[in-house]
Amino acid sequence: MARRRKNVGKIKNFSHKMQAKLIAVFCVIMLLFLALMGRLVYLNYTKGSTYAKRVLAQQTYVSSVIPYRRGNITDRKGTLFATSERVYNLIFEPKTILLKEQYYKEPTLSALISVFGFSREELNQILTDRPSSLYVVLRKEVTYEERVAFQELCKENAYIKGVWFEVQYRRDYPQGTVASDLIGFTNAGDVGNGGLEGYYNKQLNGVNGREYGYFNSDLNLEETIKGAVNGYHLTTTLDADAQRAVERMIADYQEREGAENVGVILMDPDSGEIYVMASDKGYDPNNPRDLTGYYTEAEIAAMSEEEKLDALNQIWRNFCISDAYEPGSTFKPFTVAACLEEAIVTQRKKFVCDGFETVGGRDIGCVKRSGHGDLSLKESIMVSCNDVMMQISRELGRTSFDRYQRLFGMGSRTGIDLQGEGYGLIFSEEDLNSQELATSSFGQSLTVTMIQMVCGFSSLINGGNYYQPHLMKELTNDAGLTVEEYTPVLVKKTVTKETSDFIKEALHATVAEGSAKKASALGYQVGGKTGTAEKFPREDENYVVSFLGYVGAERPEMVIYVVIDEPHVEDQTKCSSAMELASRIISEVCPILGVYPSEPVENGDTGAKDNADNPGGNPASDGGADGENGTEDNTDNQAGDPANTGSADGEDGENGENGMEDDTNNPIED
Amino acid sequence: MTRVQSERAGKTIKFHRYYDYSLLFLTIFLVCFGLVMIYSTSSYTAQTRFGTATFFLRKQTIPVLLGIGMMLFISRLDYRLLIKELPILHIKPVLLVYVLALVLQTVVLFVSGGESHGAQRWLPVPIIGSFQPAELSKVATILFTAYIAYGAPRKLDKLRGFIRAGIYIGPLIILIAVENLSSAIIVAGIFVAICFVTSRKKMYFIVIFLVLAAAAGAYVVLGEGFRMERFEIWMNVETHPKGYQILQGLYAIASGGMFGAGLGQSMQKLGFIPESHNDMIFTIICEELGLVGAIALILLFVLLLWRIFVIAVNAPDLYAALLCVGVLAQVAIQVILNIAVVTNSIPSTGISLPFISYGGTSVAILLMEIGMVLSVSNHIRYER
Repeated sequence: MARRRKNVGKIKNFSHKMQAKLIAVFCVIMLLFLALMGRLVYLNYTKGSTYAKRVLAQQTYVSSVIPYRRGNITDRKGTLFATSERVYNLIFEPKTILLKEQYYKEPTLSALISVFGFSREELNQILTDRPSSLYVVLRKEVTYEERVAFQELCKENAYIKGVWFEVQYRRDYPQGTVASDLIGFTNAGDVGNGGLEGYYNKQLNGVNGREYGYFNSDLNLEETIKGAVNGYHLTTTLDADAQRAVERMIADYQEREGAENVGVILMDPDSGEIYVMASDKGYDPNNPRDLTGYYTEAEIAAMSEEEKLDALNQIWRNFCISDAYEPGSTFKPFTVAACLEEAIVTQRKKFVCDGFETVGGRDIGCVKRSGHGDLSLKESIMVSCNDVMMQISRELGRTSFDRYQRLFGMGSRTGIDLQGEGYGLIFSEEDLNSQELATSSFGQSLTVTMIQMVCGFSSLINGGNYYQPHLMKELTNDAGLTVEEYTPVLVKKTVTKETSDFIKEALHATVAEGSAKKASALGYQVGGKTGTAEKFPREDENYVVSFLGYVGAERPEMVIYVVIDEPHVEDQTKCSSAMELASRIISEVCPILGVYPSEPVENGDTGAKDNADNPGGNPASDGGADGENGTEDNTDNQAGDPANTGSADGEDGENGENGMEDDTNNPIED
Repeated sequence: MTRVQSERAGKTIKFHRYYDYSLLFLTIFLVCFGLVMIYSTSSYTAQTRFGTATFFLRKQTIPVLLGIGMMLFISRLDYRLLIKELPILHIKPVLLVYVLALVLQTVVLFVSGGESHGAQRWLPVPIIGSFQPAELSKVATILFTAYIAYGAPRKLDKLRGFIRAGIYIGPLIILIAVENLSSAIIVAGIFVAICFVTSRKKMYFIVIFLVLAAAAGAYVVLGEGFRMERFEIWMNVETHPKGYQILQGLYAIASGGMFGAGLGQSMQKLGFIPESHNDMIFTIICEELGLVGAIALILLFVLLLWRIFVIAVNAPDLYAALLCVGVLAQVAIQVILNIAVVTNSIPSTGISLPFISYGGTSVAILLMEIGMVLSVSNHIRYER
């Protein structure tokens, strides 16, 4: 190693002193290296396990949700009421951009600006406001073209980062306002609200899937996809075309005459399947919080939050199942049926109507103040006599009356598969004193819902089978397989076949030649009963006019119930709008539902069948009907509550009302 | 091995010319290891960003090959050419390099080559892409300081002489410090190391060191926003929002364990440590090769420094020895600061790991410096 230059003088040497200092420097360096090695060992020793876990923790691969698709709601023929469409939301990740701002920011922002037309300022604002966010929804439901255009840009430039498209489903209601009260709507996150959406929320919703990955023992990424389970499709018993037609007729009526509420139910009496359930106030489930259809902009602006909610609840409300009202004379067949069942009366028994009945020291009048005179049981229904009802219900007694009103489903929910069903209000046995019993017998002072009436009535005319009403026909899964099929639920037997046949016959006669003539429809065998119930408070003289009937004489194929609440006419007691609406619905909507006229429209061969029963039955109503109606009304005064039309003297009408006023002042304590 | 025999009349003393193959192979091994690690650390980033896993590897291979060629070439030249006047220009190359460094360092302040991390550190250069003048400044500092010390070694015995030398080198340090504090620290370190070795006194160095340490401490504590934040991150690396990069590095280091996850098996490089092939490469080495690999690498650096040290001690003259001291100081300072930063032992600053980290200018110039040391070794003569 020894080396020494000879000409030391000229060339300076690296002296021993310097060498010593270099050794010192080298030693310092070695010490620092040792310290760093110590630091490495220390880090591994103290933090090794925790940091190793954190490394694994942050490796647990961002798992993403695969959303399920909420099931469709269709009518019985497959027409879509509600469906879920796949849409893409534009999601922005400021954190990812800022991770390598110098690379990602400019190309990403430029791409967003060029494709979606954002301004640079708003994007910069998001970056500054939410720098650590990985989920900023920039735009909901971007179009397909925008999405493709952006993905093309992404392919060209790998620096476009932190933007992705989230799959979501948007609930669509292609039928708009049709059947809106029945279908309901969904809030954010597929939460059904009202109607079928609410009732079948669980079945319609599926289970979200998940895509996730993890590191196996070899530290390789294992990806697992757990697919989403889509919700079940709901096929309803409804018929969209019929529903639409009925809603249009209601709208027509509202335009022509108008009423506070209008409700129509068409149901199959032999299974409880609802074909149509319509009311006048609908809304667009695509935009359920829009009040502009009912109020002006100024009115909406003036509303408080609470008022707004009330208004919304009003339009969301399904009149047919939620609202209770006094049914009036349409209740009379129930009273008669109960008395027949209990053998209080026989079908042949004769009665005398003297125009009023003294009950508990108070005179309760009949619709015809002068009295109907001699009446058979059947005729008492045909002319809608209050007096007879009061007589026979007194015989029946409070215990039996209470049992029967409950047996017919009054005062309790029918269990229809819709949200928001009401109960109605009936007198309990203890409260059913003579006056209450008397007024209840002809449908005043107790309240019911439309669906209760329809179901009870169905059992009266179908041989006594009370079916639970329902809208669900079947649930199918995504593959089209039936998951659940609705089988009609026979809840109870209400009346015997004989009673049922008698009621059916009486109701048929009521339409054919009694008070409900205007409800007849050309070619159809229609039976039914009208009702004109005075609303509470009585002095306002507001009425609920209704028609409850069936189509098909031998074997009723359809039950129809039309309720018009406070028609906007001069004298509501004379209002026959419910019957006319029912007639129109029967002749126009029944064919849609596959219920066809039982007799050819030509007059020729119709008589033969029905002449025996009701001479000049249905066909009569078209040709010479008007004249007949007029005369009959005049002579018989049979037209129940609206019957006062014929009798011409205002007194009668007033008396009729007064009668009701009298009886109801006391008993009705809602 | 070139062997020169000088035989004089009557005497048969054989002088052999020495060539430090240990240093050569150590260096080549280190840069090759560096390439392997760059591929391992950058392939994920390169794949996601450029579509080819070898993007950074290929970019680095060119300066490495160029640098090895230059190293071999320089090692055969006579280092003394540096302090001989050039024939036509009548200027010594050492001064030329120093002036060039000053000019480039000034130019880079006004030309925006490629902005990285908000600082202007690159000059766009045709053909080779970009060039980092700070790397040239380091080698210029070694050459120039050694030249000053060689010219008047005894003046450095006094503080005044040291300050005068500082005035010569000061402008360059200030120019670097404007944009690149970490390089300025390295350059200052090289300068002080050479002066310290040359000087016969050490008291004033110790005093200056203490004063500087106190000043640095005061600066860190009382300094303005930017530096203060670094200090904050250093103190609260686990909780500070901007401690992300260092913390992820610590995760990598500590999760490696004794033998590491295995070459190529790092998880932290998958986007968690940004640009893990740059300054943070040591953390991935720890994660993949474990404590054993990391300490082995440190020992390789120790061996390399030891070879340079041996060459310095045996250098044929003072200038040669001081050149070696300068290179030794640079490599040592960079390795120490880099590892200290990634282990969060000091506040973070951007210093690359010599021979290993990605960066063409750095590796090429370092290889040329090693070439210079090899050239010195080649002038060691020994008797057999």
